[in-house]
Amino acid sequence: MFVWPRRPSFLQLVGLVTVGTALLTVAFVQPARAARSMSMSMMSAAAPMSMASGARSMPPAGASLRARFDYLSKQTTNSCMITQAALVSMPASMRLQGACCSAMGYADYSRQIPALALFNHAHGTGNLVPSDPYNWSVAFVRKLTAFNDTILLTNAQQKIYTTAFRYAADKAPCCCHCYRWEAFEGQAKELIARRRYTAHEIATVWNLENGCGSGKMGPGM
Amino acid sequence: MKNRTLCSLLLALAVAAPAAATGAPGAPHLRHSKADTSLATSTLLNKSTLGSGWVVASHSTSGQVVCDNAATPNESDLTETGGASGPLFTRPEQAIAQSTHVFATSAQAATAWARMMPPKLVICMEQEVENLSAMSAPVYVTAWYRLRFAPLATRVAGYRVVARATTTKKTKETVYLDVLLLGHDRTMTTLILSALKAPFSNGFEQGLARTLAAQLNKG
Repeated sequence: MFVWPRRPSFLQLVGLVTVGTALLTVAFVQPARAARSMSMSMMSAAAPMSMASGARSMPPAGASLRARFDYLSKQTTNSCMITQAALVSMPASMRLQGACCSAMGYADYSRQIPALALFNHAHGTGNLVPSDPYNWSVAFVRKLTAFNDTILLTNAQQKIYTTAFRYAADKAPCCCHCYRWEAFEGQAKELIARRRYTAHEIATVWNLENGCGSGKMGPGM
Repeated sequence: MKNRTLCSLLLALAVAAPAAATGAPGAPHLRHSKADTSLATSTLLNKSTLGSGWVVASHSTSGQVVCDNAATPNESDLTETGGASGPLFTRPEQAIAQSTHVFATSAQAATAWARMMPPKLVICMEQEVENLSAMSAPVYVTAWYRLRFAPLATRVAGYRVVARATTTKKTKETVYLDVLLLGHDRTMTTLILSALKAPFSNGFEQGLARTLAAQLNKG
């Protein structure tokens, strides 16, 4: 039988692959953006607070784009330090708000939101592409991430996925390998496998839903 | 040389983690008997089988890794009567591990086999590789494919996942993760091979498959 996680030798497998990636791992430089990210303990504390003060977890109702920006740019729950385990334990209705990596810029935000609305309207992707990448729910993130557990791309489809990296502004689904990357990876698998998206279209989606902020913080790729 | 030291360190960290829970959800019932444990042990590869250059890592073989539950087959209705894991064999930029499991009946072994076949197995392999990612040094899968083997045992299958890993020095390395599975009667053995930069040769893996098949068929 294949040694699944509970089996010691499968556990070794990660060690084995780690050998392969060790050269890379040790050279990692912690991104500067991590400094402004919340620690996991802070995230844990944020969850109940967010639930308890629902009104404060949303931008003012009917707020202008500028007011939404002003609100969201001060939020920190959209942290790139969020792990999958933490996502599972968060309330589904919790909002992940703010930029994950660098400060939000109004110029970018004011272009992004209408563009996302147009895209979702034209493509019927409102259930797959967030309307505001700086303000999305845990449930939405979980839905996208779950596609990774069920969709196995064919090699032709995989090629579309990896080619999309080349066209994406961050040269990847996200500017760093965080929970957003995994969500956008799942989203891309769904769009490629079930909706026949091309690499350019996937990259377009990734660029539109960029939630890293407007600072220059590439993924080191 | 420095790299090799770092590799060893990280390997040690990876395998020294707490042992996995055998009673995890979806795990088969464990009713190990002496005879079936011996049977499982008899199928394990040894250093001489692998050829020159391989060393047995001195690390503990227990560890913990996360494969999403959704990608893990449910075997809670099956009974495992024997199991054994071999040591971790390494040589520069390559490593091999093996485990063998014996089920209560041939039918159960066949069921377990069927449940692990793709997409689940490959999805899990992909997740394992991508879980090696660090924040600014992603590891992402670029391809997977089936490895071809002659019908050496009742059941034979092999898969390879290829991934790209990026360093902060803007260099990229290719990581290969191969899984070879052979099953005969109630026994199933899994060989996990990982390599950096270049994959294991087809000839080497075919040779290992032949050796394993012979050991399985003997049992």
